[in-house]
Parts: sequence; C-alpha cells; structure tokens
Amino acid sequence: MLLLILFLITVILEFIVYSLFIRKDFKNLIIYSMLITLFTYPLANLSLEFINQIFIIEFFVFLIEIFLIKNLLNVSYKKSILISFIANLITFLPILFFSVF
Amino acid sequence: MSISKNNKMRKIIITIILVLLVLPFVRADMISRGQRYIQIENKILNVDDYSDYVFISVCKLGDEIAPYQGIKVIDKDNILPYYKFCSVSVYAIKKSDFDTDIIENPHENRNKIIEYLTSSKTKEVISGIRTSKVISDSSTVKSIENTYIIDLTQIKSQPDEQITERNILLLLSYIILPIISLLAIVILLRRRKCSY
Repeated sequence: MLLLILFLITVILEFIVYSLFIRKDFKNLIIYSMLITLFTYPLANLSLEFINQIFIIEFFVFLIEIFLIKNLLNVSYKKSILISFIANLITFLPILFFSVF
Repeated sequence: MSISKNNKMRKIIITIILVLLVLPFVRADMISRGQRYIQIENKILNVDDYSDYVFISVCKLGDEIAPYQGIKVIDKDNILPYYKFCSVSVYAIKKSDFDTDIIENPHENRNKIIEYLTSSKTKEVISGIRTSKVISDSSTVKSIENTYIIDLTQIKSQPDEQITERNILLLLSYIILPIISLLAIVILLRRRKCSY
C-alpha cells in the first residue's frame, strides 16, 4: 500500500514540476509523468534489492529521466537536466520523510 | 522585561532546534515506516556428525558476549531466534566438558559464562549469525534460510548456502511494468515522429 502511495505521490510531484516548466499540454504531461515514473520507480525498487545505496540509485534515475524527459517533453538537454534534477530532488523528499518519521 | 522575554524566546528556539536535531537519533529500537523485519532461519546440517559434542548458541552485542540474551542448546538443526541486534555465535563443547549449571542461570553467572566460553573447553565454530533483518517494504524478499556445515577447525562467518524466498508477483511487477512503460514510450515517440 505504501508503495502505491509513494508511486502516486511521485507521479503527482513529477507532473507539477513538468507543468511548471512546460506550462501547456497538461493532459499529456500527466501521461508522461505516469510513464516515466512507471519506468523508473519499479526499477529503482528492484535495484535496491542488490545495491543498498539509495543515493546511487536516485542518481541513475536522474540520468535515465534526462533522456526520457528530453524526448517525451521535447525540450533541450539543458532543460531536461534541470527538470530531471528538480523533479528527482522533490520526489526524493517523501521517501526521506517516510524513512525518518 | 523585554530582555527576559527575548531570553525566554531564545531558550525555546534553542530547545526546539536541539529536539529536532536529536529526534532522528532517538528512534533506538523502533522500526521506521516503510521497513519491516524478516526472520532469518539458520540451520546446521551436520550436527549429527559430532555426536560427542554439544552445540550452543550465544548472543554477542558488539564484541561482548551477552549471556543474558539466552544461551540455547542446539538440539535439532535450527539455531533459535535472538534479539534483533544480536550477532549470534555457535560454540562446540565436548559433552564431557559441558557444564549445564553455568548456562542455566545466565544472569547470575555472566562472568563465569564469559570465562567458560573463552576457555579452551569451548570452540567457536560459527560467528556473526543474524536471526532477523530489517528490509524495505518494497523488497521482494520474503524469507532467508542460511545453512551451515560445521567444521571444528574453523570459525565460519558466512553460511555455506543461502536460500532467499522472494515475492514472485512483486518481483515480476518490478520487471514487467518498466518494460510495458518503455514500450508505450517507444510507441508514443514513433507515432509522434510519423505524424511530423
């Protein structure tokens, strides 16, 4: 259940970040955030089984998302790096919150 | 009046900051949200090969032997569970040297037990056994079974075999969902390319 909640929080937060940068096509942006999260979230969980370093995994998620955001959102690499960085920074906060409290 | 008020405020702010700084470290025994405990089953396969020996398990906290956590005789193959922070060691003792009186009251005989376990009458054969583990809620691991084959000439710190039972459905979802998502992304990008 917690996994599903975290997944939905991630989708919503990523959507908000994309919306702030793109400011149009909101219907597609929610689909993109769902697809990107559906790709990276289970892979990150799977990786956690073998590499017990959340920061390393989060860094790889950030790298993967750069390419996905660049292609799906049709933005420059510079912008996709920035979007991916902010989105991952923000989506990482609920994970930290749940693990600390 | 205002100076004393300021001092009061300062004290309150310092207290709040200190509490916030210390709070994450005082979780001590609590398990964090998003994590769970799993039992690790530890088995010794060849206890019967040493019929003239008695095998006992003892908890160690750090480097110190902690007899008050219980000394358990391994009568079947299983090493019984201990307190989660225990690093369990297994000792082999010749039946003729086995002192049941000492292990019967570990609280009172603490020093005697430590002396006994570090004497030449006992041999540590396995060390660093964990009987439980904290794992993430997202982990696919359901249970872990470690098996050991005792060799009196060495101290084993790793199991000879480890069987990990996993939640297959969760594991499959971690593999299949990204594939489906990637396929959808590729189809979406191709369609977009074609429409240009």
